[in-house]
Amino acid sequence: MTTLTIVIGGLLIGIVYACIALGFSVSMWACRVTNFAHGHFVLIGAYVAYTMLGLGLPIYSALPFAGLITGILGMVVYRFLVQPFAPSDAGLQIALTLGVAILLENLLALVFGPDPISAGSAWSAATTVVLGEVRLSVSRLIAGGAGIVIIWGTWWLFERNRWGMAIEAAGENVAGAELTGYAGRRVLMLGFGLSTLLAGLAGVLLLPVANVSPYDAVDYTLRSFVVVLVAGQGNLRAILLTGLLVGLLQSGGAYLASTDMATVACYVLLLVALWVRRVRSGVTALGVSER
Amino acid sequence: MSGRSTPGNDFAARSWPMAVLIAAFALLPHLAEGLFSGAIRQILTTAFVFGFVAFAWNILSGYLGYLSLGDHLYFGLSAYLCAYLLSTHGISPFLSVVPAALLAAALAWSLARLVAGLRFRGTIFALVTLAVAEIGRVVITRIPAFKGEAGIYLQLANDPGNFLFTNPLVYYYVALGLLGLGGVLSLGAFHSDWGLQLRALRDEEVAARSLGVRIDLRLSQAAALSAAAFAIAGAFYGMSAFFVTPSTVLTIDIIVTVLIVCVVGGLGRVWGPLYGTLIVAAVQIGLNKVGLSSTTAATWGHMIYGVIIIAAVATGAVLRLPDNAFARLRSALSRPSPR
Repeated sequence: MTTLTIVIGGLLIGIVYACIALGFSVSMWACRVTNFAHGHFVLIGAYVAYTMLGLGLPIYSALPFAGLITGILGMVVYRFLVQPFAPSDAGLQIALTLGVAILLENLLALVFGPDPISAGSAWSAATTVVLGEVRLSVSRLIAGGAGIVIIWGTWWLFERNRWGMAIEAAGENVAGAELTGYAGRRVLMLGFGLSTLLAGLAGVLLLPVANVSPYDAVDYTLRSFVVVLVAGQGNLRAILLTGLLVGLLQSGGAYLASTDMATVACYVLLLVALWVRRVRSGVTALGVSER
Repeated sequence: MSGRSTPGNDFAARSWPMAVLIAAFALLPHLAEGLFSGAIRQILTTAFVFGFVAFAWNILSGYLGYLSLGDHLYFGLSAYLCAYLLSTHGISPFLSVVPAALLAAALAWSLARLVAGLRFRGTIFALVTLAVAEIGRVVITRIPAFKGEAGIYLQLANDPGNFLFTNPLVYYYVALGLLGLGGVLSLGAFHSDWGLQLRALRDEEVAARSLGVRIDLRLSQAAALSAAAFAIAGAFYGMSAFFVTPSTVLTIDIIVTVLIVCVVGGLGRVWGPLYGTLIVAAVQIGLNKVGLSSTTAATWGHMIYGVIIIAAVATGAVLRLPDNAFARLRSALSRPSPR
């Protein structure tokens, strides 16, 4: 494996991480919900794709299906669990979504078994393309390309479409959004559905690229948290860049040391980012600054 | 409701139900020998230890309201340190648990300091503690002296000086004692000025800070206390099992169990962890009696817990309603100090 192969492969998977993190960012900044089960929605997407492949359907048909299922499931979780019981308190939200996460994780393990699954040749029989020195997996190329389209679509939604703006506005101020004629709470539900939909789509893209097991979900949640925290609030370009960086760390670290050391590198990045943020925020005499 | 006038009497009045319960569990092995099988003893012993840490965790995550999801790191770190020092250097865990607990407390303290000044610190604290625990798990698993996935095994011996007993009933009683200690800690903290400040921060953080209560200090203290309790429990757990492996003492299941215990019993309530311990132990004994194969039972057990957590949050068993802690703190501060 040449260095370039690893770098490009890492960047391509980084785009998918950016998609997942984008979803986490939408729920965290726009809907003000800390969704601990975010990674589990990624896995639901992957397992929907796996089931459809098992039924003999092509993998691209899994994209709309997985998106629909994860999106609707997310809206159900938001409408019937988060909104009535933990609308604003971060601790309660984490406890609640942790409950959802444990339920989903073990449901997946019960239905599909605890062992990892993969579908390396889901997109095409030829799994790699060779460009001179560089060997690239077809699945990664497609995952990266589709990821870019998804990110662009989300950018368009939030920057150019009034519904995306409504979601952001409702997160900031529900009453204000309602004054402008939007059903604020329903808009937030849509926003949360969008965040889980992004996770589900990324899950479909991930299945041909990585081994997926029901117990991986927390890694995806934490990884997207790293991206979101390093990138900061609502900055789409920074999310994409940090996603790429995490992808690089992950594949470079896995090549140089091992997968778990690569994950450790990711989390160390998180600690460094926190430390930098703490230094820059200028801690006051009370030990707290609001910005 | 003032715990300041006659602390001694109030303490006795408030703690007697737990004292009765602990006495009942202490007598159980003698009064109901037929009922008290090895499996039940083991489930109860583990449940009591987890009840002990749940009491301490509840102070941080319930009273103060900052969910810590990484405390299993301190559990595992201490279990590993004590087992390693005993097996290779013959150092008694009674000695090594002290630096282990201090190390855990220092780690938790600095992590809390890192987070305390930031916006969205509730979310950040929960996820960062989990990430740090993940770092710790990988690092500890990779330290050659700790033997990776294989773990460290201790000599099966009866050696009271090194906290090794062939009679498992000893561990049962020590665990029960730890549970009682946790209860005393929980009750004492709840009614102290310190605990009042924690609860005031949870209910009205900005207002409490305006009275001079420092969130960074209180968060660090509560986190360190919880970490130290996890370290003590980890040392106990490693010794009582006679072995430590990453999958037994460094798994996320530990913190999830503690969270379940607290949430089911009532997060932020004085006796919440105690109720939770009893309920969780009952569920486990039930699953044990049904006799499913252990992995299937674990999967079903976890699913039940997931539903229980959701139900507990939904029914408001998780106490987050303002219990006037802030108002009482204000009046406590304006009252002339008895000291």
